[in-house]
Amino acid sequence: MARLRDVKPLTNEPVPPDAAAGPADQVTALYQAHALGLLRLAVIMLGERQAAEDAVQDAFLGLFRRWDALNDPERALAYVRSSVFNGCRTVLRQRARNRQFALVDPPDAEPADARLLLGEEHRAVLAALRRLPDRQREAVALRYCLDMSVDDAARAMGVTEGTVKSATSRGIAALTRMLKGDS
Amino acid sequence: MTVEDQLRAAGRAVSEQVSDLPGLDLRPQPASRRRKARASRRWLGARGWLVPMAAAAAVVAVAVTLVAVKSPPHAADKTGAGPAASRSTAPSSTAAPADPEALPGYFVAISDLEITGPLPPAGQSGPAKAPRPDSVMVGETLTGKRLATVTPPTGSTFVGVTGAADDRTFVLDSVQIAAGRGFLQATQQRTWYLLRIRPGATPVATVTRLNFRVPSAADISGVALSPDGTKLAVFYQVARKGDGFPYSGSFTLGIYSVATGAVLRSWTGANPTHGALDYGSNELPDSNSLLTWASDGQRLAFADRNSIGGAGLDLREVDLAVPGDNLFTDSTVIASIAVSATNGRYNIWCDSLGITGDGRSAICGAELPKSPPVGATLDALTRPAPWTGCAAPTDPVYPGFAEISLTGDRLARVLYEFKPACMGAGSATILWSSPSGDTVLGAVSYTDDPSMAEHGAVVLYHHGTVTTINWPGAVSTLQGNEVAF
Repeated sequence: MARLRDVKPLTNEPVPPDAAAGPADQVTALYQAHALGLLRLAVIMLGERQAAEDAVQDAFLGLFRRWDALNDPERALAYVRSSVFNGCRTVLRQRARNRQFALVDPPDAEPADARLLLGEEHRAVLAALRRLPDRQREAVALRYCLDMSVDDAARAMGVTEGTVKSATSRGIAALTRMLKGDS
Repeated sequence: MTVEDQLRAAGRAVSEQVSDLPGLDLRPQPASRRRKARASRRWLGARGWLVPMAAAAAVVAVAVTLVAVKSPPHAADKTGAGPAASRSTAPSSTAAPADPEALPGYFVAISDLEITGPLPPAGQSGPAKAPRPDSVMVGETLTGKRLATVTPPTGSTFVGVTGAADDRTFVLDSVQIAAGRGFLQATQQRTWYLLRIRPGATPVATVTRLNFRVPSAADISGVALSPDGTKLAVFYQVARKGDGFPYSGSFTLGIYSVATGAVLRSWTGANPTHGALDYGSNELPDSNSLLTWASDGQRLAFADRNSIGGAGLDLREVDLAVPGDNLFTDSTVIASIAVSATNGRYNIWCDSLGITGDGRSAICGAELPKSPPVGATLDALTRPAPWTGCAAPTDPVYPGFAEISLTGDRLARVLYEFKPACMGAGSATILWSSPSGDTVLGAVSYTDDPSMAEHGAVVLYHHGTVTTINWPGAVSTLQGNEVAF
């Protein structure tokens, strides 16, 4: 299991592609440089680690499979980040559907060791975060949970800075209202 | 502790616990098998997860207060010109046409759009609660006084408004509120209503349902009523099946007849390197300030990101008199804001961007440099480094409004720039502009650094004089389609 504490997570700097390296090596290099930040983002989005690891692994596996079809290898990070966002959305929608049909909420069904040992105050705010619309959730998570600037968050999400600002502002307003109602 | 601080603390707590990474397995295998393999590893390494959370708890609580900007720096009336003349002050019986340069006398605004419903009580799960419906208010521009309230039909909520040039005709945008759905989305089916206001009459407002057949599941990012109130422009993207954000489907700009609902013109374009400014938004409210008509009702401009990653911004224009149906090849770039080719830095970035009614210039709501070089071409307007707080005050940016000449793509003038001492983040949204750009209404908001205290104001620029408007709602989140004049 690799320890990557020293790697800057979720930067917008693509790994310079090594033309001599094969796809597996290039994808692995990208994984080592960025996967930890993406995993943290997915954990924040999903609230548990297994599904987050799946989302990140699936994203990199998808990148590997499509490597030859990638027009611009420098876009690989954007591709994989978009895949992680989509994977998280899919999981959250599945959970919402399960709740609607009174099925067990997947996070509650996870073994205890799969869940994060977060304090109740952190759980509450992250639970509220997961109730936001996609765009707001992602903007708020990037800006505040991962301390990204507006500029970096906009690049990570593939949207404009204005969109990040408005989504963040609305997300914070909604969270404030939710958490006040919750208490 | 503010919500922002709670989020930061939670983010730190997650980062503390998620500090290791499983190896990348590129062999094709079902997720269930990968999970099983990881689970066995996790049992062995579970002790590593028992990370103290004391660090995450050490968070300084910062009080956030919402303070309205009472008197912006350039608000003093130096010319004695007074506030802009209001169109509503003209006697209604007068046959003379209204002055198109005058400030609209009335506004129609969404009063308090709630995108997300409340959470269930702590410890309980269950179906999400739907947002509560929102009405629209009709008010006086200069005083903010509410004249009438229009409630939505049962089971729906108003989510947007756009207005014609007569200050009396508006189109309201609404969606259904579905039980069990916790939030509203831009891809929900829309229903439009024609709103006519008659100040002084009873009732003040009348509402008629319209019938525009925009494709279902279209992600609408802009709606704009033509100056004469006869046509509605709708900018949307239809996601492909299984599409995730950002969507990959085509973009369409459709123009509908208000009278019949028929599609009068449409332009469609699919280009992976192009996207509307808020493309793939799937978010409400829409950003109508990015879709603007010229006063003649023949030209329509839309903002468009001109490359993947949003590095550049084009303002494009379609001409209704010119044939063609391709959104990109049959439209013209009339202004372009791009990344500097020499230093790789962003040039000015417009949070909102639209043409003036005379079609000669564009108004940009932006974070502007400290001393914008008036007369310079847009490619020379380099935006400073992104962080704007007190820690980096040497090269700050400030929210404000600028006029861009479409002749030569030059910064024609700075209409307004608000310069707080230490700004965390700011934004500026154009709400309305007169045909010449000499009178502009806009919303400016910013946060203090590092307190995150939020400030905002609706400002009126009129021939070099800036005053604030007594706005009845929140300014910090105000977007172009939440209010129409």
